[in-house]
Amino acid sequence: MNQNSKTIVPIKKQILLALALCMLMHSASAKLLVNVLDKDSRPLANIVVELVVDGLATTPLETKSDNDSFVGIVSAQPPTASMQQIE
Amino acid sequence: MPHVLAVKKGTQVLFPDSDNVLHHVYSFSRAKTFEIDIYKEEIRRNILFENAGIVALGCNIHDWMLGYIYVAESSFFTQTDSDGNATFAYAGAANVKIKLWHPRLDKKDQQTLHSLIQSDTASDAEQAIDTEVTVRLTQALLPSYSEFDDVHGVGNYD
Repeated sequence: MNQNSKTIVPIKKQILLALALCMLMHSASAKLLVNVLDKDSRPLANIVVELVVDGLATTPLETKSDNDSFVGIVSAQPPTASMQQIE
Repeated sequence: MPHVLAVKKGTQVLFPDSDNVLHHVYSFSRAKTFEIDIYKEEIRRNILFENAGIVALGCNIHDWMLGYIYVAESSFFTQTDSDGNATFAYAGAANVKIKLWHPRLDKKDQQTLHSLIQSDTASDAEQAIDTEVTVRLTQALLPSYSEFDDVHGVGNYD
């Protein structure tokens, strides 16, 4: 019994997380644009940009295709319009 | 094949030889160790990248040929276009950090995570707002392989 309860808890969390993600995906469709510049403020192409989301980094939502650089990102918090850089 | 290719973990990458010369692709990287023996244009090989990480590729015949495959853990990745822009669908900002990678980035810039500012009000969740983020490197780009004097002109192998 103890072993069963240990395995059930994370599964419940995953289901709840998936439901929350589905709701958020339908409720918002804004874009996040990341502009990468070098030290002299020139744009840099071909830089890999990955979003690291706490608790979601291993939960794929969409699969990147060869001709599609648009990937999905959702979270459980409201969007913001500003950004800070962590040194 | 592009110099830097980003794929999701579990992706198979095709290695066609579109040149009129032989190649021998290999990698000793921890994320994926493999080799494709000497092959020509008509032979196509798929390699599965099942582990996240950086895979450095080389050609045993042409030492100056280098490539990298960034194998991402999740689907939340892309590569910047010629204007330096990367675009994501976006529905929130909970503990989202931005990670950059390129072989010419200094390790300080690769390891720095740029974080979105979080809002305290959960009631705005349905109001999607377009967000623009500018990330400026703190270090100069590392020199490209072709910038080393001892390999100038080596790429003309026809």
